[in-house]
Amino acid sequence: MKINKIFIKNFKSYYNDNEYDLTVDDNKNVILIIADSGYGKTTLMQAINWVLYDEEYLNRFNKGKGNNKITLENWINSTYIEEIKRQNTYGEIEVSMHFEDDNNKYQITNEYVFSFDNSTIQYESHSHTLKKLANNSSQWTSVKSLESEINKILPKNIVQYFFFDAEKQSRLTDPSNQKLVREAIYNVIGLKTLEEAEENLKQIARDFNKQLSALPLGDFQKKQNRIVKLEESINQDEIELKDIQSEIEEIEEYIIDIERKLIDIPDSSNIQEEIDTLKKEKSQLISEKDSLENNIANSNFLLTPTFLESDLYNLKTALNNLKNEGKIPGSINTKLIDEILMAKTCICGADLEKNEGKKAHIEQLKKRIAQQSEDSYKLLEIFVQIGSYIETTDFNSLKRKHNDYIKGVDSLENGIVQIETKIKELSENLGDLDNKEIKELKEKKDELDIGLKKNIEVKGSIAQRKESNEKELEQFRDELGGLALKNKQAQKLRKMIDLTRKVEHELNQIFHDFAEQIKRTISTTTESSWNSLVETTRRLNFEIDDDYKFKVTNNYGSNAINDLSEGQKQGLVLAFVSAISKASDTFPPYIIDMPFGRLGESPQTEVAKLLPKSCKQLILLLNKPEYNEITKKYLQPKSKKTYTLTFDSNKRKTIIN
Amino acid sequence: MNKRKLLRDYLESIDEDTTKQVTYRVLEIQRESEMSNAEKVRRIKGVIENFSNNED
Repeated sequence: MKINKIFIKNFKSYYNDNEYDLTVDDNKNVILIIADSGYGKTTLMQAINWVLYDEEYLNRFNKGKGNNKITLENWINSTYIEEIKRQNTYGEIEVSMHFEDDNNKYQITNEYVFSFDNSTIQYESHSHTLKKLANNSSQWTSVKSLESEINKILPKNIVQYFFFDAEKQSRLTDPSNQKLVREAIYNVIGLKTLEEAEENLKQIARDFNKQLSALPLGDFQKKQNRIVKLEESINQDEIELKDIQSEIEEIEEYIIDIERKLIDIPDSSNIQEEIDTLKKEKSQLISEKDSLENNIANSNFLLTPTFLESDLYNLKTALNNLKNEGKIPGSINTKLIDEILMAKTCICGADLEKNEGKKAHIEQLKKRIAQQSEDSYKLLEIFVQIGSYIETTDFNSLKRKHNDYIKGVDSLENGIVQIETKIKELSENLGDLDNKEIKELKEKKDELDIGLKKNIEVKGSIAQRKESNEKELEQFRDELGGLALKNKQAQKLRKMIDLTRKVEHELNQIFHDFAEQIKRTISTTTESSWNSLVETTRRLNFEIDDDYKFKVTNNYGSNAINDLSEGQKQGLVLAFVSAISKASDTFPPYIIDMPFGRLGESPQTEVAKLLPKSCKQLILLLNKPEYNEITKKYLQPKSKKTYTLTFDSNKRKTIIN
Repeated sequence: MNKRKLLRDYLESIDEDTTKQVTYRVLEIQRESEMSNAEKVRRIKGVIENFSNNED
């Protein structure tokens, strides 16, 4: 960057229109502005800053001034203000500058139009414009992004290192002022930009977090976790239900099996019943047997004279024969009849005794025999009839009955024996059954019934829990469905927050990496520039240490910064500025206010020699004592123009000569 | 080594690294001196949102 011309109108001590031609060339690269204090030489530097950075410069200027901040009104020429007030008209404050950079030409103008309303300034309009004549163009164009363009040419954060008060700048060499060095390096890497970026990122992260908090997610995560737990619980319940169902079925099968076994094993009560029935049957049989035996006894009595049977047959046969032969006596004596009857009684007496009908019949026959005893044949017939009766009826019947009785008794006895055997068997079975398997099986069944009941209860409880969980799950799923979209937004926001923080961290990392590299570069470049500018420093080593302090050591490694001459120190400052210029890739003119300050003669020579070499365009703002024979000797040959400023104290205005 | 070279080197190191890409874009936006800070914040937010979405 090279400044060619500057027009200053009503800015501080510059009343109305003023112009500086600051054009330099390679051989004569120095502009000298010489004036006493307060005559407007520092104002020139301020005007250049103001035209470039406008309000931002004013803010920078006011930094650290507390309540003594100045306003633009303070920078309007006071004589001019009085005129405007008096004339009650519009006024203007304006600075324009022509400069070039990278073969492009620029015209920048900063202008405010104002008026006064009862001593209060009113700004009517403001115009901050930049025109550019590009290298390959013949037409001036307005630059829309003025700030951006100017910052590329000369970043506002480092301009202070090129437009500076030499005395203030020399404080850089003070070892206790590492803060200034650090600040300079941080400014080169654009600390403010990075700080602002970090601040903005923090703000953005806060905004995203606010948005995230504002999302009515409720306890989405909790609900999601609950869903997972419910699903797990339901799955677990299903498994448990299956298991318990299997167990129930197994128990049921076992119970059925036991029941089958119990059915297969005769029931003791049935057996007892059967035994009782058998006993009754037996009793009945015994009773029948007794009756039969009684009958047998009776029939035995009747049949006792069985020996008479053959006799009676013989008698009958004999009688029949006699009858047939006609040899039956004409009269049958009663003796025979009695014998026959006796025999008859013997044969069936008892029966006859018991059977009244028969007895009566026999008695009737007896009477008839007695009545018809004379009729032998008739008697014989009666007698035969009795024999036949005995033979055919009573006796045979009795005999058959008797045999039947005996058979019946035998049969009954057999039946009784069978019953007794059966009762014995059953009783034995009953005895076996009562104490063992049935008891065990019944106990087992009871145990299983309890287990089954418990399992059914547990199954019911699990099923109930599962059902309740399923309902809850369904409810949560419904709720989550509504929240899913918001959750997606939340996830997106979380990602953005995460990325924002990563970028913030990255910026911080970049900042430290850049700072370290730039420090190293500036350190090396400063040393070489210093050694090149000031020959007497070639045996000295320079570095910016870890604490951002200037560190100068001699060849023996000893600290030599306090041994430096003022000239060497000033050279170091210029070398440092030069290093900043290179590191920031910015090559503006140096505007140095009071470069010789309170330097003694010797350092003045040193500084005067090195200054023109330090940059391509050098504007030196000197007070009159500074421009002496010593400095003049080295500066005048390099000076393209020398301006001497005077001051009209009546009109309070700078006059450029 | 100067600042521009540092930035150039950084730009070359970006590759596919989302964080670095966003960081570089943030720096570009932040250096826009004509832009109000509110606008910078808005644009940076947009960049972060886009890159977050692209990562999906």
